[in-house]
Amino acid sequence: MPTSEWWWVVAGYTLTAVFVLTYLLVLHRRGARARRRAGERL
Amino acid sequence: MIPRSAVLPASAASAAAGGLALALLTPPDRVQGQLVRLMYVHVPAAWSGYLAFALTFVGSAAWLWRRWPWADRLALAGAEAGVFFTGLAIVLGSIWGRPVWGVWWAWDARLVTTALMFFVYLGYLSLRRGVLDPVARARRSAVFGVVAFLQLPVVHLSVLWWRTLHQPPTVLRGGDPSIDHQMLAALLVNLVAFTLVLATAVRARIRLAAVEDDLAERAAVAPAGAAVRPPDLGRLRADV
Repeated sequence: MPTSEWWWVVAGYTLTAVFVLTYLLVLHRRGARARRRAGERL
Repeated sequence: MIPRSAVLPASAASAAAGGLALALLTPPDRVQGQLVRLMYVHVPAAWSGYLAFALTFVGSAAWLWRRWPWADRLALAGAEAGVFFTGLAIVLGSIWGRPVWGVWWAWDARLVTTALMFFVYLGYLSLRRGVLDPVARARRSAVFGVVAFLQLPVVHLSVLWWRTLHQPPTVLRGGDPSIDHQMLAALLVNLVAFTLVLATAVRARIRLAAVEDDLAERAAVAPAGAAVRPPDLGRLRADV
């Protein structure tokens, strides 16, 4: 039982890390792209 | 020396590392065993969703009051982050609920009101995409952002107002928190970490929105000749 409990915990933590890092990375890349476009327009 | 813009993400990463260490080192629960460790991500994710929607409320109210452009950007950033964190809290709650309750989902007051809130703010984001005029978009979404916030107390108090499977508040309640002090410390550190991640995301989204607004404004005021090429009269005459 304890081993299977740990699998749920690992699943939850992994999912959190993947979701949060992806979200921040997408925001970062969108920002970089928009700034580049704004620079091109100048 | 780290650059000033990296202070917030670095603080979020440090707090997350500390929060993870504490979440893994605290003792297991007498009833739930190791599964209680899911609380250290589920509760902060739900908290961050609440906080983000509160930012949308503040931004919306500020825009209606003074028409400040930054207020509209704050409202947008809060709604996007709120949808993200509420979605994460629902998924993590499902992962926690399966081994503890025996089901992935239950038609429980807290779960249903949270899901409703998630879809209402998805509607907010759809509304923003559907209106092209920036002033009309800001006005309509600001009204939406103020009204939508009224459901937040209903979500939080749903566990007290109705008989639910979901447990009642353990920290945000009157009196002493009904939780072991070691567990409370780990939970608080993770709450700080998630709040810093939220702040990082909101700041990045506000900056992105400012650049997007600037680009849209420049496109709107560009002279007609920049968008429409004049006809080549010489070639037209030759064709005739």
